[in-house]
Amino acid sequence: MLSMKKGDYVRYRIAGSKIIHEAFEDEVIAGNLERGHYYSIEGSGAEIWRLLLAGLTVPEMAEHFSNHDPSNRETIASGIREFVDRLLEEGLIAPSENSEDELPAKNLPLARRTVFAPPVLQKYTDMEELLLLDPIHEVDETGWPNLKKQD
Amino acid sequence: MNPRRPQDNDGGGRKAVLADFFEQARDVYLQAERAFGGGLCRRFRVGGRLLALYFAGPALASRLTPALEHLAVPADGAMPEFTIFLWDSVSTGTRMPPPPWSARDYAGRGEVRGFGDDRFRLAFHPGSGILNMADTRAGIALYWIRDAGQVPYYESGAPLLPLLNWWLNGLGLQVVHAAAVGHPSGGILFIGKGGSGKSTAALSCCFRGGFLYAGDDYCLIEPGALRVHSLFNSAKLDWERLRMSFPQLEAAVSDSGRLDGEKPLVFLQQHWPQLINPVFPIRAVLIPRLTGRPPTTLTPAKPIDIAKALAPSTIFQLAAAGGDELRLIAELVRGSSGFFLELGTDLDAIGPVLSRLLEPE
Repeated sequence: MLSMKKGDYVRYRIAGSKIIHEAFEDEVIAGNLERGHYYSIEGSGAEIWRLLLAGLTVPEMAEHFSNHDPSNRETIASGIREFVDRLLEEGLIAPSENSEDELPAKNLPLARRTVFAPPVLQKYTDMEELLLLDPIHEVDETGWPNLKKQD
Repeated sequence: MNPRRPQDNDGGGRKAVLADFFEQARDVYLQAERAFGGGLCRRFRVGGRLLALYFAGPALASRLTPALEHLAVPADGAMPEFTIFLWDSVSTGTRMPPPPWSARDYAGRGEVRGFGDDRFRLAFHPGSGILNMADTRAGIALYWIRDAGQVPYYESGAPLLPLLNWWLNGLGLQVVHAAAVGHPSGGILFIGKGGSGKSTAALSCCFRGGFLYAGDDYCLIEPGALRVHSLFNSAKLDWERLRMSFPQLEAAVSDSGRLDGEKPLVFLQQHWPQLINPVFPIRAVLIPRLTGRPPTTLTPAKPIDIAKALAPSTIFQLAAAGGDELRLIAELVRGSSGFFLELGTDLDAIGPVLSRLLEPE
């Protein structure tokens, strides 16, 4: 029997339209368009991502992964909780507002990788500078920004 | 306080205000056009689709059309699928109405917080002073800058990117940050962020390896058909690389690419039109990595590697881009073969390596 922790009954959703994501084989790329960050999700992370978006809670996901090794369920649940916390910190997911009402998708097809491998969230910040706003020095009498004067 | 400025959290009001501003700005374009006795119309076939540009006067046309000249088509009465009206205030003696947003609404990628939706798209880049607005439902767009003389060199090299993306994305075509070279039978995309070697690889292939050119920084992909379309015939490199590796380009550098602190810009259509190939099938997607050693080699890349090298550097620089753009890029990634191109210092060796990659098995 899995010992329950705070937040274990929460279901999650993508945290708004500024989060984009796509799956490729057993990896996921995600982006946070507000922060200028993007991520690759590897290991069992891609499967956790899929299960999260299907509405599964942490214990339900732990159950999914531990079908092959029930004795390891606590360790798996702990790894999933840690990963979910990172996704929340990065603003990629948010608690579903109707978590009590939303039921997990039934009969989810088992992914090829159901043996648990530590989920990896690799974060990249090299695009942040593309979101930096050019400084607005002043606006003219009609409200349009003036360009910086050349020296 | 601007009486037309909507209150915060007034989504419906902002939508109406933006539609109203679009109409006012279009009226200003018409004034500008009348000042010159009628606009200058140029037509281009972009990704197989007909684009019309109406310039109120000549000042902007000379700065924005050279990069598109290889796609120009004569006016034949066919209805354009997208029409952009372009003008500047200084040369046309017109005055743009005040923006219905405030300076604090400007955000990254040229976005304006709270303004813009699925129909009306908007981007204003404070750094360049260029306003792009599109009514995607009507298939018309507006492009304004206060002074045509202030069009930045990078805009001359790759003009109208937000507008082209808003138009073409809905048609299954995606503007991407990539270089492309090849032959009518097939070619290669080079992807990666600025400075990764895309331009060097592309120009080496074309000027030293017998390949044809479709773009060195941006091009248009059609994932459903696994094809690439040329967008711009411009090439840009830093002066040191140009003089050292492609000295034949130096005499062709455009005036706008000769300004201090700016990369030299060359319009290939003006000097080497025979090198341009506007469309070809994509046979491989390569991620260049500068090695500092002479040989050039290929190593397989995973789909996630291709996605990471292509999607962020495309999406984070296109205003209002997001999930729709990522879906088209993902379609390309899933359908193509990817490699890391370990880019050597012997530029003559790059073409043969890539020619072997394109040989039929």
